[in-house]
Amino acid sequence: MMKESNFYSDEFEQLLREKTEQYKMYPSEKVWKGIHGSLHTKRRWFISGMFLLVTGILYFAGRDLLFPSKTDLSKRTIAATHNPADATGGDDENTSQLIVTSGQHHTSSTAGRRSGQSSDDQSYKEINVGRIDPAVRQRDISEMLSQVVALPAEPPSIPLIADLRMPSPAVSTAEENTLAQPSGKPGTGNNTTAAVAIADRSTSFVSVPPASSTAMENSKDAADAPARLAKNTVSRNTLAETRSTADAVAGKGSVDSSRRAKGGSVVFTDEIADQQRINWLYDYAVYTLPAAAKRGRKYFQMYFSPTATYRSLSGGVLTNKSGTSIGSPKDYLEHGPALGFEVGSSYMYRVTRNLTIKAGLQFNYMRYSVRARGNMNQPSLDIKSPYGFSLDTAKMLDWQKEAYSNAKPPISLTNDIYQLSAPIGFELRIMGNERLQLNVGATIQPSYLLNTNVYYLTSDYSNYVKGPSQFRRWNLTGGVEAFLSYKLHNNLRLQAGPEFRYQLLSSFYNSYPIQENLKGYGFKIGIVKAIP
Amino acid sequence: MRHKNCLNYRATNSGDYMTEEAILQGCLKNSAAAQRELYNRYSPKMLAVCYRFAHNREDAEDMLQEGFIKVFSQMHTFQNKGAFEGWIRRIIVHTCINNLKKNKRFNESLDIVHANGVQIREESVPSIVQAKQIVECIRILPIGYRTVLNLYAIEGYSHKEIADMLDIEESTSRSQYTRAKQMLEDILIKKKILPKPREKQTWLFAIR
Repeated sequence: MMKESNFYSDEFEQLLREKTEQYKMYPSEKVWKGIHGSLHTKRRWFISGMFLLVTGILYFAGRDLLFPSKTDLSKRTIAATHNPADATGGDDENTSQLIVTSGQHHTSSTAGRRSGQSSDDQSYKEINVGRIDPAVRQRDISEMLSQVVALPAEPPSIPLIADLRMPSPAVSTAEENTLAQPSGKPGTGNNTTAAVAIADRSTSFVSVPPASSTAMENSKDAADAPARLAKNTVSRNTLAETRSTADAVAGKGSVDSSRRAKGGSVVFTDEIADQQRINWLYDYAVYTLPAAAKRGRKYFQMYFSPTATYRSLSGGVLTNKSGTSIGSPKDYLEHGPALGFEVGSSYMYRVTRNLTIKAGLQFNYMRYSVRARGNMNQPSLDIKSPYGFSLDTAKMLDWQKEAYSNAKPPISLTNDIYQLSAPIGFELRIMGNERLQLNVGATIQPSYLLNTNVYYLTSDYSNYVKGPSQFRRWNLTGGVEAFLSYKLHNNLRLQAGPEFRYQLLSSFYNSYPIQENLKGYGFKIGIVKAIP
Repeated sequence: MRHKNCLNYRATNSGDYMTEEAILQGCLKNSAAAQRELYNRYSPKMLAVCYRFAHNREDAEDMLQEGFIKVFSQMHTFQNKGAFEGWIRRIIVHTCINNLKKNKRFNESLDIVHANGVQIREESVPSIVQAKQIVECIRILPIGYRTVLNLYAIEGYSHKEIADMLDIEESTSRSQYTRAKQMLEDILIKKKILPKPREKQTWLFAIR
């Protein structure tokens, strides 16, 4: 669209246009940074994502591995010792339930443990914690109680009523019947009231009547044990009260409790009290405390390693203008390491005492720098950009100026590579004890190239090109390591030691004349947590 | 555009080591290096354009940044039918106008037919007229005058195009320009960049 008036006839406008065209202003660097930041958000998101990922991993690792929560144990301890609802007891029904539970618990715990013993040998005097359950050693219990358990401020109320004589077989049968365990035995609980069962089981908590192993197996699972223990404790408090009721009921019943109804002997002895304390401690140890540490086979490992990456080049032939070979590009290129890192986690499985296999996921950030010899006699090393222009104006101008003046080029290009790999390998214990060990390990790592910021030579060695177009997406890397492993905690170990990674396949596709294999040296620091 | 073919835009830069075509291709591939090269090449001129429209340098840089983001993100729409620099310039100018239109004072100023005159202190200037002084004189104008003058006299838009861009009447654009031109002449005279009226016939020869 042309202007209404003749443009050139207006000399004033022409003057303005000419002068303003001559005027230039140079923006500050922040303008370009703003533009670049708006246009290249992928990298920013990638870095942010990786930062969040690593931060999250470290957070959860720190929370779960370094500072494991003791909430569960605390809750269980509180529930077992200070549950007001249980402590108050409540009405008779509740009390009965508590006692039944107590009996059930007793049956499931003690009777089962004593399976195989003679039914005649049921005296409380024979209760021996050390012999009750071979799986739980008395020493372990004592140790746990002394080190871990915060015992209640007040000792457990000890039922002061106990029969020195064991309940009749009818009572035991009734007990089984009450626990809803069908029995084929004749006369099982025919006329037995629940109250009788309650009373006798309450008593039997002290005197430890045996029950069949089947009863134990059919009893409720151990998951309910803490609750039962809490109720059990309360039941002991209420035992004296319920005793009279139970005896009264028993007196009316058909069970063989007439002797008690007639004022059967009630014995108060220190021995009984001690025995009941043992019972209580045993229950506490078995159902409230965590199981004794047991060496598992599964482990979870997390590690971080600062690495320095180098590269080795092979292939390619440089020629001069006359076509004569003057060597390989690697003879004219200098490389320098740069600091990167790798971070990852592994799932480990101990196959034998000394051999552990593992598989995991690892993020690699590899960096190295490239310098080319500036010799104008080697025109193939004249660095240009992929489009025939410089990648970074300022740098390239400096480079070219010096290159064209036959000076040694000062330019150093830093290459960044982001990889995700899946290390699969093993660790072998060479020497050491349970606390301090020397291990070696090896992995093979399929890796996927996430991103690059890399300069590489064009196939005619005349330019440096930036971009991932010639890079393999998938590659294979081998790694070896040696490390010291120190036991920090029952389930936690600290590892530290050197490692070496070597990229088995070239960074570039086979069509590219130069083969580049990256190699990295690092110092790996990791923690290993046993998985229960 | 009135004189898009009149301005001496360089389509190619054969003297440079990087061709405009290479820049264009690189930008289409979202190459940061190509984008930087394009920016280095055109940002000085474009910042000067922004500066003539903007209130201050900071605003001008904001306009430049926004404009170049549009340039790079709309690079695929460039069809090689005109000068590359002209295409960039149009985007930058439109960005400036859009920024100005967000300013309430700018919209109000366009409605003022008789703008108050600006107080210019007479001062002597070097005999060699510098481009910077012309630009600074333009920036002295009220923003409505300045915008119309920039668009018409320097950027080459017609009054109809200006009316569409600024959402005003075409007649308003004409009258604004007439007054802007008169005011700028006065300023230039007071600044002694232009000779006084009696010497007006020969001022052009004087400053050249």
